[in-house]
Amino acid sequence: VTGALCVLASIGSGALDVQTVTAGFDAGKVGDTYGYVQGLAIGSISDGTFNPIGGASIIALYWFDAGTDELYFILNGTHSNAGWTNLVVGGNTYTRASATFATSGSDTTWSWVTATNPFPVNGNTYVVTFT
Amino acid sequence: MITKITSLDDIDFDGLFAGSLPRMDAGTFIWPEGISTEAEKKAYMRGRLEKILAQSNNLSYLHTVDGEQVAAIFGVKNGNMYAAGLSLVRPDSNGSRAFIYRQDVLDAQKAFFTGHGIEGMSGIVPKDSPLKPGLEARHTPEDRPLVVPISGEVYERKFIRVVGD
Repeated sequence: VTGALCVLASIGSGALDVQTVTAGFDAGKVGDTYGYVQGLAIGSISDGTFNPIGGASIIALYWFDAGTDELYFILNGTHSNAGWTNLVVGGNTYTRASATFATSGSDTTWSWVTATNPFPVNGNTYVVTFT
Repeated sequence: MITKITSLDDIDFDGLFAGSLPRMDAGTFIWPEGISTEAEKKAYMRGRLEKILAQSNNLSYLHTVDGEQVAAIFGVKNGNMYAAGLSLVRPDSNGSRAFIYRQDVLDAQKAFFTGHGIEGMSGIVPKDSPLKPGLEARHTPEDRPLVVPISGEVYERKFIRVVGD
């Protein structure tokens, strides 16, 4: 099941939120970025509104390939470490409990060290489900 | 002269890599752990470059100056921004890299960017990178509006983003 059908199936399964990331690619000296980063014009996301935390705007959902490979999920604004349990993409599950959590004055970040790139193909769409 | 690179076969990769390696080893590039021999570095660099070249938004290019391949820039286009990832720059036959300041070279690069709808450049470097102070010092809006640090971006905690025109 792919694309819109997958989104519908995920919603039907009781997911808290489902996002579709059209992966972009950005080349960097230190490493490359795969996925979606608002403001750098890397990829895109639909709808980009994170329902479990009050409709916060998702400003980044990307994997960074730089030796210590990391997956980042970043919301606009400062939020508490609560409201959802799992991020699922490409058959892999990333738990909020195992994430490194950080907030700054302007954003909230969950990150995981993972060698698996969940957004490997530039231009492809990936369904990201939050439970 | 500038030409687009779509494959490493388009360039003298061996020569450009060999000419760039001393500078990279001097600190302009941080090799990942476990990459130590020249052969390992070459294979690593080849892999990184081929990954960029394989992207649909690849916009890598080669500088040929006075008939010599002197610089290969590997990057991608995102929107109207150019993200330069890696580069191989070797001295010319005079042993100099001063060609990067030549007006005809700069003009050629500008024309290449303009022709591809590029209006600015971006780069992502680690917040604590030794490159950061140099980038900020060399590329201020008042000095040479090529690279302008932006604060408050997504990457601020771990990275800085630099953009400019």
